[in-house]
Amino acid sequence: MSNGTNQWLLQRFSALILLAYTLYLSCVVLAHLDTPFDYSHLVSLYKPLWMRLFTTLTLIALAIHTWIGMWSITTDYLTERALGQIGNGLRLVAQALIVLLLFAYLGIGLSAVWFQI
Amino acid sequence: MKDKRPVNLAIHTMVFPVAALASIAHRVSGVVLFLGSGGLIYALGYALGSMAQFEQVRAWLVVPWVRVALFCVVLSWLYHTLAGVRHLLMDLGYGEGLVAGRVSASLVFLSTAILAILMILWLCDFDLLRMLSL
Repeated sequence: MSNGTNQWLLQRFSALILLAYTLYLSCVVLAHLDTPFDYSHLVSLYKPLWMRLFTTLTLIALAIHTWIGMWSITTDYLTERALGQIGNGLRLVAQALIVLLLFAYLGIGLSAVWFQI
Repeated sequence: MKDKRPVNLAIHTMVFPVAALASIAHRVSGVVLFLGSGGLIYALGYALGSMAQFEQVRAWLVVPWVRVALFCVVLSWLYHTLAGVRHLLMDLGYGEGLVAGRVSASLVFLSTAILAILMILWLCDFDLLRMLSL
């Protein structure tokens, strides 16, 4: 039976990963509050393998988390009940665009972390 | 078959519980993050490219409308994270009652406001550490 439990769990699990990354970046920001932050600092932040892997994991978690959230929003507002006949078509088009955009984010992020430095 | 019962969609006339405001703000901040994270990720990748590109990004962040957009995204990130933690705690069973829900929703708004003010002060080059150590 499809009852949304998997999505519910994925939403929470991806949220925890995103939270961990947010907390880590916040610590980095706080550590650098009063000192100048330049190119060498940014590179040394993202150069270690563990940070690249952590960022990769976070990018994937972001795609999953965002997709579930945007799916909820599109199925709430872009409906036949709300918009009439065109509602279904609009929703499907919106969802398709969202997926493509999320894939672009993932691609740009991965290339940044693995091919830019 | 279409439902023929009357609906009241004049939401501008309604007073909402703080938890309801927290919920819709969570949704709105989520959409803002969806739209903004692309820019952030792209900027990170570009800045990592070379020292010159890094400085270009730094120059971009001084442009007024960019600063405003960045502030909106970071504020959304702040709020969405705090409200999300509230959600996770409720999933674990903490604070699911009526009063607890009201209190936690108010706390989320309050802490977001405090952190946002601190952020603005820092952006305006206010001497934050000296102020906090007083």
